[in-house]
Amino acid sequence: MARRMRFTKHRRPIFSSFLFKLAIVAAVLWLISIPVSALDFTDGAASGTVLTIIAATSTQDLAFGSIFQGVPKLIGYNNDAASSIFTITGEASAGINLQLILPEYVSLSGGSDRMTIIFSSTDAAVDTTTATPSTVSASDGWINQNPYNLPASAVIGSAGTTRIYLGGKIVPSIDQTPGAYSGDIVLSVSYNGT
Amino acid sequence: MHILSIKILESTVSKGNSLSDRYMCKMKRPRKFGGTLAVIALPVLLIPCVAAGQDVAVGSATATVVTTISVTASSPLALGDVMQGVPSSVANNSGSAAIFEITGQGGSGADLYLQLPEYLALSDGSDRMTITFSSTDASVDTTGAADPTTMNASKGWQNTNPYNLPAAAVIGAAGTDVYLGGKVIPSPNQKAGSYSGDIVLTVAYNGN
Repeated sequence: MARRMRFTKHRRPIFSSFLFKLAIVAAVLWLISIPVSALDFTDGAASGTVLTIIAATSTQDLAFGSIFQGVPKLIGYNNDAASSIFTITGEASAGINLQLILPEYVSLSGGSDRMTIIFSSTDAAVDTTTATPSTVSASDGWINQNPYNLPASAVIGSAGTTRIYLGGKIVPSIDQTPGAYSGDIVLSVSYNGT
Repeated sequence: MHILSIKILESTVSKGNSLSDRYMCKMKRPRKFGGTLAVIALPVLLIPCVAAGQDVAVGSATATVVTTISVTASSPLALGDVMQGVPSSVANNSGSAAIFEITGQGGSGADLYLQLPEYLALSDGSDRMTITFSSTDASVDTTGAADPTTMNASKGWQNTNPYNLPAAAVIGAAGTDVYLGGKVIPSPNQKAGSYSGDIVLTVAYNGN
């Protein structure tokens, strides 16, 4: 601090001299005297519109219900009451990236036992309309899709909404511990600029 | 951000001793501090922008494994004393019929499979005696009464084939029982002694 103040005092005469001030005043006066026609200004702009925020919500869990030891159970993505449903909202018709992170097991809350869960290459559908799992068709988006590789050309529907329907298969062992099992299914969504 | 910089500027000026000191303070110190603030603030301002372009939703897969299915042989098929060369039978509604008790999730379908012996044997294996089961030697009681003598058709399946138990069998609310009769055929020179053989019932949920 002290060193900087000394340095400032050393340069003081340069900025505060009479000649310097006079030069500034002269320059200003010269600029004022220039005809207006010799100066020109243009006002450009940079503009952009941020699209509607994209949001994903899990609106229904993949519910297998009661399972019997040793008896596998399949839930199709077209099951209105039991398939998993994710709802995505955002800018209508905007391209999106979709990625599902799927569990390999569901577990008892205490972690004392786990049960295999399987997703086939046709267990997902992407609905860009307002259909339901049981009514969605190819014309509504994409059906019978691989949940591990959802369509790269997926978009937000024209109404600003797209839904993902997901089925799966649970495979209990013959000595599966009775109880309630669960596992997380994670959907990541983002705009891709298309 | 800008307002914060101005406040720092004014605070610094008040500490100056001379015009040049103040000028220096204005030119250097606020700019340096403001630059630091800008570096800190920039990521903070950018975070909402990034977050708005993507989102994550977490759902669940849920399942409930129902009550374990189990089976117990609670009473053996007791043919009692038999005489050489004289066959002896026990009906499935007899107090001497075999009783298997099954418990599990009430109302659930179950597959039932009996493995029946062809012979009974002495414990030392020195002789064996034929046993047969007819196509009406079993009953399936879905009331869980565990009493062959009270069995009737309204309680489930009566006089059914033990080699092909009903595919539609279910576990009753109080359990289900299988009653089994049979017939032994001793030879005329059957060795005297106590004969036995295993009867195995396998049960499993079938998802119905």
